[in-house]
Amino acid sequence: MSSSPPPSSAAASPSCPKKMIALRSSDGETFEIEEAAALQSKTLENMIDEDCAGTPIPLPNVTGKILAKVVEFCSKHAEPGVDDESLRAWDAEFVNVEQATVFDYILAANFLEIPTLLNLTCNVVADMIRGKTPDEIRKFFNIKSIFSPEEEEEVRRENHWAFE
Amino acid sequence: MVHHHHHCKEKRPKFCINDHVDVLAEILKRLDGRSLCVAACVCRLWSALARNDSVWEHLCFRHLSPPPPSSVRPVVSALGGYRRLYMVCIRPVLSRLGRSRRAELPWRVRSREELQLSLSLFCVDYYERLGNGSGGGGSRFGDGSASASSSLMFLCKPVNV
Repeated sequence: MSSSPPPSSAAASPSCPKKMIALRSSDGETFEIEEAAALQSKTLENMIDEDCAGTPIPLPNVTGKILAKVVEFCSKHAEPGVDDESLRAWDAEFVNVEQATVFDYILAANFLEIPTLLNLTCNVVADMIRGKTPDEIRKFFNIKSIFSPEEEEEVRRENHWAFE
Repeated sequence: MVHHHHHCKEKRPKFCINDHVDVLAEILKRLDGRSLCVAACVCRLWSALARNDSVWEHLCFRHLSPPPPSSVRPVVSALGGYRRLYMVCIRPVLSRLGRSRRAELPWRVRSREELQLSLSLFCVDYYERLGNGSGGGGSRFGDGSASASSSLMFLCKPVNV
């Protein structure tokens, strides 16, 4: 039930204070996010339009731990005046985490429809797949393959050039 | 065609990528051609996703900005689909460039001109397959070995000068 402090605002015009949106994670934590940052998420954008008196938006699919990071990501990407290179470096650091966390980010980005985060995280996983053999991929994702011998042969034949 | 394998532990449900097909599709879209073919050998679900032509469409033209007009898609589909386009027209050029210029970044269809070239070669491939239909049947991915003398598909092969 803790509330994280709102992100430090950049120069806001004095006449209209930045609108803060409240979010509640699956485990009951509340977070505040600037509207501009929240609009990075198509899901939140739709919900904000139907907002009723600023009650925290419940996000049952996202835990507090991940939501905190997602808020951080969206806030950073809504910041004005950040050059491409430093943003890219920041993104690289952001996904420099253990595998399981990257998967959590992907699910959150998918659920909240945040194209920038989804793109970033999917590329990370694609990099993990690149260069592995099918067997290594199966081990990595804990996938059990139940091709029949005929199917396996056909699929190998279709894709033989990848193994040359 | 879809198989779900639950390897879930009690404490924290273990992430099973095959339970999230839309996310998996997004990931596969970002692979290169070779990795995509390797991915197709992983399991039935991955194989089905990798066979989906929209994944190959994304692969063919992801570096083209602005993206090609939507009128291109029915033409490519009629001529054999994006997977074939990649295999027959884009990949051979790519591998040839890879051999000769090692330091160079992988070639991609980046400009309108390269798009037109790929589509033209693709039309040639289709035309030649039409011709081979009554004959002994051309090879699956247009090696150009059938009707070698009249084949224009030499354009995709290294030229001996």
